Amino acid sequence: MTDLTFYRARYQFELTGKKARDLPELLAAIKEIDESSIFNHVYHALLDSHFLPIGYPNDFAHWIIDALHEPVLAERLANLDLREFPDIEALREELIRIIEDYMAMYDVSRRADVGQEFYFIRCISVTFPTRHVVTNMNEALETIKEIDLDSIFHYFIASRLLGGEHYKELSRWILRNDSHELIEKLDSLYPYGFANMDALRNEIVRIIEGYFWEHI
Amino acid sequence: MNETRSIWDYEDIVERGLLEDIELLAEHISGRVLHINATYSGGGVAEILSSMIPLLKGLGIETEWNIIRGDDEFFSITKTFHNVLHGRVNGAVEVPVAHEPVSVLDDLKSEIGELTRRKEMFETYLHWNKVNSEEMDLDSDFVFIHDPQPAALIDVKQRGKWIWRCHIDVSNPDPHIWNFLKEPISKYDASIFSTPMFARPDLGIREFLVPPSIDPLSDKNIELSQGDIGRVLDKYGICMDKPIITQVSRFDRLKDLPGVIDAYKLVKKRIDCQLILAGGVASDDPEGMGVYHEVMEKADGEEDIHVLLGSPPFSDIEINAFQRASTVIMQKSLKEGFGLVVSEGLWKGKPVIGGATGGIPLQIVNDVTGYLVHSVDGAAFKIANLLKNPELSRRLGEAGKEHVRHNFLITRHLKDYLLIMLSLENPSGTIRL
Repeated sequence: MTDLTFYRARYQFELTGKKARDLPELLAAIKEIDESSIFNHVYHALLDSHFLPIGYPNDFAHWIIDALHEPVLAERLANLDLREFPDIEALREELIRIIEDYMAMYDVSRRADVGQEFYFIRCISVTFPTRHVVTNMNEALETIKEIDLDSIFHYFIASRLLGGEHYKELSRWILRNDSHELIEKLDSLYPYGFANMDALRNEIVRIIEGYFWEHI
Repeated sequence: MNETRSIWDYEDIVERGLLEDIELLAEHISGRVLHINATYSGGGVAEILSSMIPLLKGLGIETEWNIIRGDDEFFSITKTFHNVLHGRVNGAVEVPVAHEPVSVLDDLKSEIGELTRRKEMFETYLHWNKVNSEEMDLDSDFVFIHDPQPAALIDVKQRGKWIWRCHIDVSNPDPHIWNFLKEPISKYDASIFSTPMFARPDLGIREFLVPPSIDPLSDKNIELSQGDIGRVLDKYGICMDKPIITQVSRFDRLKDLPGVIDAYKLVKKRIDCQLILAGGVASDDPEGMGVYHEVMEKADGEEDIHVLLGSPPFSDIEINAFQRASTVIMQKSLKEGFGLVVSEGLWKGKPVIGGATGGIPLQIVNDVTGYLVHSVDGAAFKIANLLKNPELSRRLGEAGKEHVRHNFLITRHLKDYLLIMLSLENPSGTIRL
């Protein structure tokens, strides 16, 4: 059996130079901004939420209530079911549809105050090997129980959405161990419905342990 | 500075995974790193570098910290640059001055005089940057130039990645000074700003975001015993027999010290408490002593208001003790840069009430780590609320400390610098080491 090295990621943030003061500007930017910016503004709260309570789960909803005072739209964006989007483009389309629908129904002339603009920020991910190298599924399970939440986020969210290789590597490694059913279960896991990364980790551990229990 | 420090000194403060990652990232940095700014002591930049440089060295990265030299005129000019770049943050209150009508000729003369003065300033600035570039060894793989003073050193760049680290708000600068500085700054490989609000859209180079940080092991933030705190308060004649509200800030109009006193007086009618206003006067601020005297006058006859002028400046341990002795910490600025003193207060587990300006809202998450206020009444209401509810104060203080632990400590700052160095060597959006 070949070894599998677990990776983790750290994120650095970079300004895109795009900002918005009202909904038409926000919409125009969402249509053309790079995927890592959409990813950053929608998903980073999943990483942050384990230490601070937040009102809305993504930056767009947060800004729309905070700076534009449009609670109905903020609530619609807050209630996005991230399980529905296999990739960032699908998410982008849904964001556009929700905002366009809202703009068609309501007066959206309100502008944010100076200093309250929405700044589009992309994230750069730097991935690197950890000291966790496993040779079988038992070790992989123990590692998943132990690695930090940033790594869980990287494997099961970031890597899947941003075309990264690490989730695919993990899948291939599990497949090489003839665990077709297990990878199917992990593939069908939609990680966005969990309150935080701890809950997601627990579900992954439950799936793997359940699989082993069935196959003893 | 030859001192080194191990990141593992922070093992009891931040998550182990972060320290492991810093070590791993550092292994991928090759070559020499050079930081250049204007001073080894005094001010936030020097404070951060004093902590950062030993940590970089402790990671085995060859690191140097140099400062530029210049005459009084040069530093007076760079202070002017600083003021006109930084001084107009968030639409600063600028009172228009009524002038007597002047003739076209007088107007023209005045404009020529201004142009001449500006040209002389620029020449002096470039002269001292050239002198420094000839004297310094700038041959490094990564060169971090901090703030505008040494920005023109880029003109002699031979190799390596050069990063302009801007600690001030240049979002709304004086256009003449900015256009002059923009020319060298645009030659850098990248820039770093503390928040998106402080950045410029016209640089044409990569702009990274790195908030500033505090060092939890520095004298200003290290744990103090009750005995240590008591000794400092005794020295200044302050008794800890009633709740203390504190604002640590320079005597500067934009810190709204009269507003803090007014808020305190409203609270004092209902709850017995005391107020500490501790700070210094910047040597280049002609208004500072005037503000101090105004504050003294406003506090006159109030025996529970302690107006403390640090002259010579308070030691870091004294500032630490004032903050740790406090029940509530204020930073009621009308206008602010990043306002890192807020993080200092939060790190000590204290609820902080701040003005909603500059970088303060990044540190105070309203109703989670403290309160953002917009008026004297708002400040008074929130102070009273906190004094009456120790449990609420404890909850905000705990959340504030965690917020700082994750976002505003030197270890996160160090990690960000390592990531930026790696990002510059691998321009793709996903970097696999």
